[in-house]
Amino acid sequence: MKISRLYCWIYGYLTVCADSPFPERLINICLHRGMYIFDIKRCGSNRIIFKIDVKSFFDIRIPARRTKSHIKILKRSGLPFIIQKYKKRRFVLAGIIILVAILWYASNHIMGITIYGNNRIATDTINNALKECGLTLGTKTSDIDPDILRNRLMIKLPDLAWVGINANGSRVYIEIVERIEKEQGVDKYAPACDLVASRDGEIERIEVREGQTVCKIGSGVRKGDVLVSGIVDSPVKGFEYVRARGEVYAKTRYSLTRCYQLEYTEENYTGNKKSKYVLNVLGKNFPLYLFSKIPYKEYKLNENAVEYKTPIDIIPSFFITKKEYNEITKEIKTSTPNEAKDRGGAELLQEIKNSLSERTEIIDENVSYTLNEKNEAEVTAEIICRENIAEEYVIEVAE
Amino acid sequence: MKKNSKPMQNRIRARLADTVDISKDIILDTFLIRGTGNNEIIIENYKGILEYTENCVRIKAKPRCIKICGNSLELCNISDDMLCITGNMDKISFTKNQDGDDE
Repeated sequence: MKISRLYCWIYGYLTVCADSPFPERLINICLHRGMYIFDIKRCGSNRIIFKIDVKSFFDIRIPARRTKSHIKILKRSGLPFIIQKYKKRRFVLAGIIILVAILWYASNHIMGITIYGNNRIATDTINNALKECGLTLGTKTSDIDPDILRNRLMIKLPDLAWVGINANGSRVYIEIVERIEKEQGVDKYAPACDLVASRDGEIERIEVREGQTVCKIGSGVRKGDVLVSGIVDSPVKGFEYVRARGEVYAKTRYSLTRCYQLEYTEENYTGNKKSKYVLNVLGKNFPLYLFSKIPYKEYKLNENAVEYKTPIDIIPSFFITKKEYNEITKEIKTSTPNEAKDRGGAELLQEIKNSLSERTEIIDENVSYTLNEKNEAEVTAEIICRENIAEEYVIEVAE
Repeated sequence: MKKNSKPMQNRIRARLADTVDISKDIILDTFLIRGTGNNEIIIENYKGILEYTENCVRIKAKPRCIKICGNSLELCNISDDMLCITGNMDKISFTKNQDGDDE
């Protein structure tokens, strides 16, 4: 049924209305004459509406005359009528042809390359290698042989461990598996060196990969002491020079001492504030206020600039700076030595922490104070850490 | 004698169809009705349309006429030997042919 309808649509069909005193007879005669009619609907006592293919419509005259029917075309449908409709619209035809051409090109050529799984090797490098191997945007899909391409790419990029190439439609997916990365910083031709202590400390853990250990766990070392020697015993030469490698973790101490006066000035905000705005255009300031006098004797100033961009790029953006004057009162206070210790200790500990590297692990913190002859609190902050203190020291080998 | 010959023939044909396992509508030259719910009926091997209105379709077939009653009835697909009727069908009945050809 569907096929016959499709056939009918290709060759065109008409929706007709037949006014007849004997509509059933008209249908029977049409069928016996081999005409293709379908979708028959009864509308009223003497009228039927049905669809008929174009070829059969020319033969309907005889049955219509025999049944005294009056036939009227209501609608023309199907491909021939669509073509006829768009025949005069040449640009539509041109558009359809271009669309078909684009579809044909897009379905037969590579329109996208997706590379995934790479970390060390840059995507651009892989893209360039693929280009040299014969795969680039616009390559014919039929010209791609995944096996050959894979072999060529493996030869071009020695860092590849495995390559998966999947051509899916007009897109190629390249899956990359890289070789395991070589240990960083290992250079066979690097000069022989020892590992020496970068700080004073108490050794807690030793991890040596190359060289001869000369320190023990639990022993104290001073800055510059050799921890791992780069001179090792050799059964052939007696001894040989190597580049000592490894980590030596030790407990280290950082301390900072500073004097703090017991009298200090405390600033308190009164809650009164005044804001003033300044317009900045092309680096020039235009105050947006009339009176420049600041109403407070003592104040703290906060400035905040906001950029306003114009919709047109060639017109530069302008800034509005908000100046906020907060009134404060200053009060001289005397603190106890413990208060000075807390105040100074927090400051000193923060300073020490800022100077530590990220890999340093903090074990303990101590803050202590002593009062000196000037009636100042001498605050000492100490941090005990665990860190790798091994650093390379090149051995001067005698020729 | 001649009057009893056709039923006899039909009985023999039906027996033959049962024996050789062939579809009876071919052997007996009768109609075949297939339906999907009460919305679609396909009639094969019919002879012609006797009456067609929105509420009733009467079809000439052997050995009896088929009368389908309902509403919004349409002759969806129609060919020389097959007829597809769609719509809300309420009743199907078989009536004697007007020409008295009750086989």
